[in-house]
Amino acid sequence: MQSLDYYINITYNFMMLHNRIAVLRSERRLSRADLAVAVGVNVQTIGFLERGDHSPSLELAFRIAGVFKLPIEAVFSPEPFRLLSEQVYEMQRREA
Amino acid sequence: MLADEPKLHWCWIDMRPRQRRRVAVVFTYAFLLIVPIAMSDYSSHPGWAIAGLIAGMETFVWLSVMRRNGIVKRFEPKSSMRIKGMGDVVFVEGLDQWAQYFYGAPNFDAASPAQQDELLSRFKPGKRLFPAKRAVSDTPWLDERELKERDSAERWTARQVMVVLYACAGIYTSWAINQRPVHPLEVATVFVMCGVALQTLPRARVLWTESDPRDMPGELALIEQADI
Repeated sequence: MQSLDYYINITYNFMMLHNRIAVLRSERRLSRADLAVAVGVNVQTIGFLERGDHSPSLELAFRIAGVFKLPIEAVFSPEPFRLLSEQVYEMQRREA
Repeated sequence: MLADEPKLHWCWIDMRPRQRRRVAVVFTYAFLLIVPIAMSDYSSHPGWAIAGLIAGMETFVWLSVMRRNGIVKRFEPKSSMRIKGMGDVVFVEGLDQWAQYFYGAPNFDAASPAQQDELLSRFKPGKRLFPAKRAVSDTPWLDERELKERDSAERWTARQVMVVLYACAGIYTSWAINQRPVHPLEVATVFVMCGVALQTLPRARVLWTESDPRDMPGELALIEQADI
């Protein structure tokens, strides 16, 4: 028998789609307005996506991933992303 | 669903913070409830009484934060006009609208340098009529999030108005049972209030629920402050 927290977490995770839009946008020096124009949505929607207040349609998710030239799973995930700094540190340790 | 940044001001007050919008909504509805009470003059001609009430409430809505095409975006795209012999036409005025019409750019600054040069060479000041079918825009007036939000606000409004109408039906039935006379203007006032509610509640809900457009989650605010 699973605890109530487990089911709440499962439900929450199904509802929420995590993304790396803000990090990727910053890395490519794109403003919210630039990204909005590129994917054909209004600027405020980019803010909603970054805050996780809106889960995009499959079509919009593909368009966003296309702008960053990354596979969709690199931009969106049903589970929280690990911090990029942690991942880079681990990669560097493995390489050393 | 909120308008673009420059339009997020009402009476020179910055309406981006949600708290301010909520206060404005509360005050607007408080005033909208006072108007019919103040104007309920059943001794005058019924036609004038209702016309005055509608005019008073519509004027107040127009001046308030809930005006059409104000802080909250229009719920439908700007419609084109039909002129005999010309077909569907739209008015285009200013460089920003020219950029939007010819290149689908949100404004003049967003167009590419080549497009800007082309626009500057063709631009004519004043309100110009162009065929509607040529208008191209990659960005729809309402995107998928805004459409979802609009539909949700309209469904919510329909439910609220339905509850009010059922409550009124109950009140009037009880009055009928107790043989209390109902003035026809009272009923007319309820209909006017429902009309105003249908018009303003979806916008009020957007103003109430939508977060500050500048909000960023936690450490992402630091990224935004970076030199972009």
